Amino acid sequence: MSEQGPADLAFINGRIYTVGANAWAEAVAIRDGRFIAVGSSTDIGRCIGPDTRTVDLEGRFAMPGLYDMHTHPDLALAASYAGQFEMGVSDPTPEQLAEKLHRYAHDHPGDGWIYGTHFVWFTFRKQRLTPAREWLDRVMPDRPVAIHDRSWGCLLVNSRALELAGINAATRDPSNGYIERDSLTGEPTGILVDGAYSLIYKAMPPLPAAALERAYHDALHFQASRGVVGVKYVHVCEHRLDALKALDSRGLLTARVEAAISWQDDIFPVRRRWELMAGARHHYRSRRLNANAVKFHFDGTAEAGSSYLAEPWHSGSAWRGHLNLTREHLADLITQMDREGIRVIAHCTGDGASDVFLDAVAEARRRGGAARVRHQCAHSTLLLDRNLKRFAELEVTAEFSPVGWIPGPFSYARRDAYGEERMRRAYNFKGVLDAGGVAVMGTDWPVSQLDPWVGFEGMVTRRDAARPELEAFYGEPIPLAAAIRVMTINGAWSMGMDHEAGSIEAGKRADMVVLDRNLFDVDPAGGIRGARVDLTLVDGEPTWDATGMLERLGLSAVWKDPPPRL
Amino acid sequence: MRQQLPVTVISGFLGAGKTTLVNRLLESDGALRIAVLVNDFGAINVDQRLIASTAAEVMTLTNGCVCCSLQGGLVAQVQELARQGGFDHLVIETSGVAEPGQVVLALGYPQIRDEICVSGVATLLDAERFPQLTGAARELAEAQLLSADMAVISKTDLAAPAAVEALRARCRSLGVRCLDSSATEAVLTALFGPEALRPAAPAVLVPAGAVHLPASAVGMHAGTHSETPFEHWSFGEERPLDVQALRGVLSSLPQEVYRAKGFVYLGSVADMECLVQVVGDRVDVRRAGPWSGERGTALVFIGLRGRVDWRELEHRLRGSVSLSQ
Repeated sequence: MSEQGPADLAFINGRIYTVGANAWAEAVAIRDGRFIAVGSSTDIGRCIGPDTRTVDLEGRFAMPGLYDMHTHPDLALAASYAGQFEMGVSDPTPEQLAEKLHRYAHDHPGDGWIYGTHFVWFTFRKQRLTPAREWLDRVMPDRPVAIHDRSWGCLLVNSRALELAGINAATRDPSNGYIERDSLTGEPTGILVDGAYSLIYKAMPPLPAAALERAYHDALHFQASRGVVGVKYVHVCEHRLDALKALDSRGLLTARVEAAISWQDDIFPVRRRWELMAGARHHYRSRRLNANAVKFHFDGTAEAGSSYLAEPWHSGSAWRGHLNLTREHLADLITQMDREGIRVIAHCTGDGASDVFLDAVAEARRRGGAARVRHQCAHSTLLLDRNLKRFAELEVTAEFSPVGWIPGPFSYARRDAYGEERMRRAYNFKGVLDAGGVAVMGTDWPVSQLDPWVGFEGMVTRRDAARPELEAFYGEPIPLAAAIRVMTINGAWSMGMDHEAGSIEAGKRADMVVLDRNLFDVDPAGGIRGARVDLTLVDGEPTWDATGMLERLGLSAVWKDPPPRL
Repeated sequence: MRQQLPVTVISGFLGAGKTTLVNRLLESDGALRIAVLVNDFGAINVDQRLIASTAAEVMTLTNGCVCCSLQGGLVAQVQELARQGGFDHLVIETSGVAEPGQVVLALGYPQIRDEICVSGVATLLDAERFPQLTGAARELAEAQLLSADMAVISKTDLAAPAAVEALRARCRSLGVRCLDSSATEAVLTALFGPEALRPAAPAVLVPAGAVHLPASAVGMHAGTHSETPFEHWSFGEERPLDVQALRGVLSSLPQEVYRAKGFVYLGSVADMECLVQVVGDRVDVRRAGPWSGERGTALVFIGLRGRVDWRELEHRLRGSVSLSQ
């Protein structure tokens, strides 16, 4: 055990759930960021030398760190950190909006963009005004302004913004939205709907580097405090990668980060996409960071009635939802990405979308790529029963957001959209696992919360512990041990690093969390999400140390302050 | 020009009587063949404020990215129906927690906007419960009212007369025309035009899909109907009109005028006949095609009998004659 010398760090007398071949251990020894021994306290004693820092866990529970395989800190935080325009009032009158815009312009002098939230259509109506560029031009004629509507899903811009974005009567509508136009002249009114936002985004400067950096910084801090050691930050561009690299160089990348480059420009424009794909992405590569993934929106959502389904949404109607890429595009894309060693993460909510995605992976496998990349079916809300076994066959990760399984207004709305028959086979997490496939969880923050423990608990209970009166939601729960695998080794598998992370085994990277409770001893309802993470260890280094367990031994955690409230 | 399918959006808070109104429409003996699309296109229009767990950031996200675009079930279903044809008017009954404005925005999608014409948003107000709503429900109901081209006050028999009158006054103060739902014929005329009450045409094929078209809706028998509270008035003008001035007049018609329709001769689009449709506050002016006959404007207005100063309106309309003439 100790041929290469004694351990740097050892934990003894614990209840360590390893997710390895031997489910439980008492102690671990760590050197150079890896576990060198896992076993009984006596076994580990042999690795302890005079300089080994040794922690007596006193029977506390430990397990591998958690993996959040789909989340978006930048989308959740960066806009507000960028100091974008925020109304701050729920139902602003046009005068209040105008006044706030003037104040904002005064506080942010120059001729730059004013962009943010929000106006409210009906407060205009109350005064018999129409939210249109004429109104906004009167308020702010010289600077480009773009303000989101509070709830209808549109963007109000002034003439200067239209001019900078090159939008005029001759501009074509995007495929997933439109430019509202005067019915006689065809001139844009200043209202842009849905996908037409991106026409404006392209003309705006990117979010400031500091805002992006702070967004990832705060998320990593929070995630470390919740035991997260591996993440996929889904949807990035070069500015986002720059922000991640800056944190990496400061030693603040406290989780292993796989960043997925956006394939489409719908959320933000991705400049130099193809340079990144061709190899510029390696500029960002480190032990903690890689950008060897792409993400795209393959179909729509339940909420918009645009998930691509295997059967029509309604009997008698031909509408099956929408695919944003042709089957051929998808098969070529996956074949090419396979050769480049780039993982494809495909948003698939409908059972038809995942079906086509799996077909495309099969086709790419048939054509034979150089690498056999583990692609990822994101969300996997509805799956066809016959596809369950294909996840294992094709080595495709089935990713779910279990927070959506907890009963509540959002999940009920989704049930109402898909209908009872489809909901009975929705979120078929257990089906994928039973068929030998790998399922992982993603928080999909800000669509749900960043704390992975809520969804973790949801897998086991499918209930809302805070609202026990609500019935368990659709889908079969899985046992705690299976859920722990989903949160740990399955995540590592989907990052292509299960051979060296994701479980507590000798030779693997020393990632571990120590909790305030043994998850196997508590009532899962509320007991899982309520768990406090006392220590998070990544590569043998403490990233979070709530109780000063290692601080006492002279080893400081990366994050010392309380986590940000997100 | 292709015939555009008129679409009326029926909105109103939970329990306000939307379905009752739609059923009355379907049971009426009118000549209009009406298809009803019940809102089952999911939660797109579920008001965000009723979903506490949704972060504000999601709101700005949800419509910008391709996965969340409104362009989905609603647009596709309307497109399908418009192609199918076989009826004269489409009614979309939204869910009680929907913001009808969102539905109207979706109806502007390029895939359908040339095939349909939004002919009005009617919001049902429960005379008894509307004033009692609080919090997010109240805000949403107010937003629904303010999205309306016309309000229909329901359950007036259950509410105190003073409360009903207060609600009417509130609508008037917001510039929203209102009618009592008990005055079925008036409501139908205001929303769908006099055709809604005209003797029926032969039955039509029943469109499939999520469309509910009860047999009674196809109007198998001609019926007699009592006199409506409305009167018609026509306006003609040979000289071209200024579009901005005309829009100004039409968007500020007297409260007692409920509808207007016709063709106009606009100075800025002189070579084309333009179609004008006004329902409540909604004014739609669009090109109809090259002139088939003499150039000129011919508009018909529908207003409450004996309550509209048509001469004053005529004066204002004449004032919109293009100054370059």
